[in-house]
Amino acid sequence: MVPERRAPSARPPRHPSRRRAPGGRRRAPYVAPEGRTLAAGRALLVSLAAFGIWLALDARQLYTSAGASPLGARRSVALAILTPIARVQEFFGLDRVVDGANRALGGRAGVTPGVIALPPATAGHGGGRAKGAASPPTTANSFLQPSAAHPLSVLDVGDSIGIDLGYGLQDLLGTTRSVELQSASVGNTGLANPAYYDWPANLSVELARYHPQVVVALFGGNDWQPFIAEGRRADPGSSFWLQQYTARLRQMVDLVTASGAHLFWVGLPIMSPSSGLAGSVAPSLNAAFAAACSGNPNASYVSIYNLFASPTGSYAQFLPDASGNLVEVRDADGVHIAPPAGDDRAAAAVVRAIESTLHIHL
Amino acid sequence: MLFPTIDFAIFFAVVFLGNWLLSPSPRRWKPFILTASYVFYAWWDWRFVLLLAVSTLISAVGGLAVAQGRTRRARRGALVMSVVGHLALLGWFKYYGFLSVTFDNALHSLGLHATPLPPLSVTLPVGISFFTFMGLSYVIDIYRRDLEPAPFLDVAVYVAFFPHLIAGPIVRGRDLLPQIARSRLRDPRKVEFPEAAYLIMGGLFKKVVISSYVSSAIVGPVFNNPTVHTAPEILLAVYGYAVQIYCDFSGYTDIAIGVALLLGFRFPQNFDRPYAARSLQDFWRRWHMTLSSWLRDYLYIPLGGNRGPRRQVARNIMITMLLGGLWHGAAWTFVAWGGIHGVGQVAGHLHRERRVAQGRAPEPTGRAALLLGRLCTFHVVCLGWLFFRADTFGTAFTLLRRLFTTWGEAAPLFRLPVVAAIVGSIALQYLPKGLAEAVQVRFAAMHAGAKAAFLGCGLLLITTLGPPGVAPFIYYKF
Repeated sequence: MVPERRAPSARPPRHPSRRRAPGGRRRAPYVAPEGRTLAAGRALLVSLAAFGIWLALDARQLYTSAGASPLGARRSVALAILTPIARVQEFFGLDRVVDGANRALGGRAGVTPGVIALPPATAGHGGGRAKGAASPPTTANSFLQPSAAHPLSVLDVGDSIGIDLGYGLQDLLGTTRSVELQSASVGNTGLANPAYYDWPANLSVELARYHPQVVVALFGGNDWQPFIAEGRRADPGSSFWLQQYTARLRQMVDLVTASGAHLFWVGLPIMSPSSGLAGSVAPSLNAAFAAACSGNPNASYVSIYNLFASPTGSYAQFLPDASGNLVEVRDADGVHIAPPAGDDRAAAAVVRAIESTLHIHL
Repeated sequence: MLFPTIDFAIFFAVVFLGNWLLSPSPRRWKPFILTASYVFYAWWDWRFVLLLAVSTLISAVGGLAVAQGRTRRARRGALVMSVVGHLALLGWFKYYGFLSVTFDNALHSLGLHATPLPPLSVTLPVGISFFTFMGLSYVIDIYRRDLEPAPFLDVAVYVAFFPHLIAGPIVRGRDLLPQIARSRLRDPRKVEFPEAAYLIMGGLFKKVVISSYVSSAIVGPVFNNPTVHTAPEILLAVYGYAVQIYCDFSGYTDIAIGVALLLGFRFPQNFDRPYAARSLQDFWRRWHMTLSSWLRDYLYIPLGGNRGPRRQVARNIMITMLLGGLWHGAAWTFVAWGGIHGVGQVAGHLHRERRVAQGRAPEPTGRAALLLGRLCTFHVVCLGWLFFRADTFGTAFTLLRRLFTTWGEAAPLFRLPVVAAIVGSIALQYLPKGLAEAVQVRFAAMHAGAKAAFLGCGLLLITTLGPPGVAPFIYYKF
């Protein structure tokens, strides 16, 4: 065996800092430019002061964001810190400047400090139907075969999984002149936290804007979280939570069906064991969706749970397509549906349900 | 933990204080910064902290074994073991799903219905591609005698140092290890605050405001629904993605470099106005510079580099770029992206060679030629981005087909604010390089109160213009 050649120096340096650079010249230590440095303590103080100024100017928006975050210690601490700061901001009138800028940019003004600790205004009201909600119809709507002259108007609503489904519906129906598809799904939203996004209120606006004949809804991806209802904390999985959540679902079902549209409520697909919706969570939510639709002739529940399961019934990220090739149907996060194969798979099930329920061909 | 979050701001305030208080005592500072880095990583998923530790162990033990090997064979054996260890981790977590599906579909196309590699859902740990490449460069540098093995704790800090941990820049051992070893000598009276603040605020603006806006206004809608959009929208979406990925990734690395500066460490530059490049070769000197220099030093040059006959050089370029594409993601669309850059670079190489043979300068020097070079380079890069962003080849080809066949149809997404954001972002690349320095000099000369007010208003501007919530960085997936 050939002995290894020694390093150029007789006694190799043990420390990388003493090592010569590959070019042969000793690498000079970096020296910061004169006049462009600050002592660490002063840098920290300037940074903290900058955060303080930002906090003082943006307190109401931050307070609003904190109120919209999931219940828990983090939210409580944030609200406790931000409430007095937001009140000071309001006292000096700084909030008007920032809210004005926000409105000018198409955003929302912050809420008045102190109101967020109360139960959300649009939360469910008991286990029955929401107060003031429209009454559901008692007979099923009838539909004519859509055509280019009389297209079927379809509105897609939901959370980020609903957005995925919307992409699939666009793929399948986007070029069909007999369908007018609108998507109003919003990521990070759901029915558990109306302070973040008030779906009943926004759905009313969308229904009035588009007058859809069919509404496709897919929610639940962000809903397995605690919320406050009737002044009490509802923890996911508890009977109180389920009762309140079902009431919110019914409010949505009633809103759609009272507008004259037929609602197709799409359940959640099977979830990866590593996701927060694994095990019995997605089936529990799906049971609530099905229960909210039951008894209403213009609301149908569409299950896609097993559509994304392997032949053994477990979660699958890859499934064979029509030609037998494996394709990715779920995102790596184990929650979302992967485009295009997964989106199209879910959308095809929804289209089939629309066609068979309404006796039309799309 | 994402940089543009309150969680990180609180975390960093604590780390900043601890960093400078413990700075005079490396025996305390190193465990402190290592713990902070592991907490930072565990914030995403604590279970993968073990993976980070294993990667560190492979680097440290491998480096030591390589350095202590008495024969060339022993050194090479230790190197191979370490490289295989790193690549095995990367292969399992990043490429298993891709390989199993590709293999299964290949068998299916041959009429065989066996599934020798069951398609499993393997969670991709964030930052694995980055810390694996850093670990590899550490061991290879020791093998090449460009670096001496560092103490275990130094290697652990080097691999896990949180500013670069998730999405780079890919810092070499010879750049960072000496700084870690000399951590005691960092002067707490000389923190490069103006440059750090400039980088962090600029990075936040690029990520939170520009990247988010362009993504939601044009890129997402078009790429997720390729069949319903028309040529003007598709063209704008492709340009938009060029802006989005630049603002997203360079924004991240600017913040990372700024955060490291505040702790007294200097990382290498990672971007230098890439869309002002006049050739693809020039583009790779400006885009993700730490990756391109890594690929050059550890892949392209060992393959033979520019030496040898034309065919061999072309082969070396293609291998490097195809593997560079695969590094970004386990999908054939990324390989195609690498292929486009490879073919473009081979063509550029041949063109330069021909000019030199004719006794001319390798690159044309006229103003018109410069403009043409920049335009062509930008559009080849955009063609690459189209494949990079598309989920499948079907999506990419649908967009390409519609790009040439649907002019004159309605384009509701082609709106002035989107065009202005995209054009403005690209135009910024042509600003003189000294402008950033001038801003920093001005900022440095400000009174401390004015500095705080300036930064506070900057944060307000960013949060007001940005959407609620923060989307993960694109390069988190790589």
